[in-house]
Amino acid sequence: MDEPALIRSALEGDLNAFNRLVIEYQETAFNVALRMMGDVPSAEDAAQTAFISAYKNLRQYRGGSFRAWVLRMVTNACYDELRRQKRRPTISLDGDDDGEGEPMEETGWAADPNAVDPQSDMEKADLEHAIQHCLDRLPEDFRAVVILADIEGLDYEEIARTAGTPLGTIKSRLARARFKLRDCLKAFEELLPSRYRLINEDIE
Amino acid sequence: MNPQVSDRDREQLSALLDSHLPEKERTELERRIAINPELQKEWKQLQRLKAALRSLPRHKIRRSYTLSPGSVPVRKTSPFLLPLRLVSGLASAALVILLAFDATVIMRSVSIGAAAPAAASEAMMAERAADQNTGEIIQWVTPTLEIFGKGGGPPPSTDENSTNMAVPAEPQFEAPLYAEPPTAESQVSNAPPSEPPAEATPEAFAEDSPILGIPAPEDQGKVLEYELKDAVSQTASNQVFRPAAEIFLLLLAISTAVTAVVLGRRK
Repeated sequence: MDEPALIRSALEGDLNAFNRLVIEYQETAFNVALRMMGDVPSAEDAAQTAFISAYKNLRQYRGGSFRAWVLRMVTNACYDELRRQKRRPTISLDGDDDGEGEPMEETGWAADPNAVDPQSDMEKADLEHAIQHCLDRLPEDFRAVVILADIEGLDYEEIARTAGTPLGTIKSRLARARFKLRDCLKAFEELLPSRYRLINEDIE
Repeated sequence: MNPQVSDRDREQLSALLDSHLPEKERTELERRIAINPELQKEWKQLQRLKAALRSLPRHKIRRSYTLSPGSVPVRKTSPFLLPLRLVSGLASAALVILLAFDATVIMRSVSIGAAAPAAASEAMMAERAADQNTGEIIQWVTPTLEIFGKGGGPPPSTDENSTNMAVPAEPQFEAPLYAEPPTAESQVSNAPPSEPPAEATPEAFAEDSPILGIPAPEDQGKVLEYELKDAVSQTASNQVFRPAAEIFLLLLAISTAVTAVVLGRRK
């Protein structure tokens, strides 16, 4: 994929060229939004909003990592959606008491089709639930940094571009986010698979 | 939180986890981890945390996020965009050239103005040195009959008894410009000569004199008039045309650039 050529074509009004970029980054965008928002419908809305915003603001792209630029749109869309939810909290009509829409553990479509060990599946689901619970309790900018670094695997420079923050701030923010997350996950020790337990006999 | 591990230590551990620690700091931290059990514990917990986060499944999307023409305004490039940008660029370039030319002229006039007094001073010193041999400075008054005639003032009198400047020039003797105590020699030589030098006619002098290098008296007025006419008309046209051209180019460049930006931003 010749990314710069697609961006140039998209700037000239070629929607198909832009859609090829969307196809390239939509899964990453959705996963980041899902970790930021914590539920599938909000993540889908944020991802869609982010791509519309990216198309409208494509002229503001000044080179560099296009992935980082798209993810900036995604995190901004998530911040907006989270603020909107705080202003107008919604109550689910289907009895979901936390009011956060479709929770991730119910997303059967997301389960690994090749998995054959139910015990392993349950452990993975518990781990994911525990991590998401702790991510939701992090401040939004800490959450974004730890998602981008540790879940999506972006390097510091890309995270700095995505967050629009200096590299030094990213480093300290990431350190603090990791240790906050660790402290939160200690409460889920019994639920976590033994290899991910943070308090362990070989550590102790 | 472990009180034995500082925030600085945690930040370094986090950077070490991402291999973002400078070599010297990394070596030092690894040494400390090896001997400090608390730091070692924090380090292992951090490694497990990262492994747990990396193990999270990537969720597949349920639908595509591609945009349809109906969902976003289709961006059409205006056909006038390219010509507008071209005109704007050319106008800007012409303006820059014109301003650069103006700047060069100004710089040149400033440098000439600065050099002139020095040159004049040098020439004067040289003359003085030459005159010291004779100890006198002779200055001829230039006949200016024609100049006055063309200048619009009252016509000079032709009366021979009149003391008008049109009287054929006589050498006048003056003291040297730079006052020095007169010597006996100079006092003698400063005495007026009985006759002007034979070759010191006004015409001959006018040809040789760098200061009064004016053509023959009958041509003086004409030449001055033509030169004045040319200079005045050229200066006047420059003073009117060039600023007008610069303002026009500036306005053209700005207006076309703004129009191009507005057209480019239209969705």
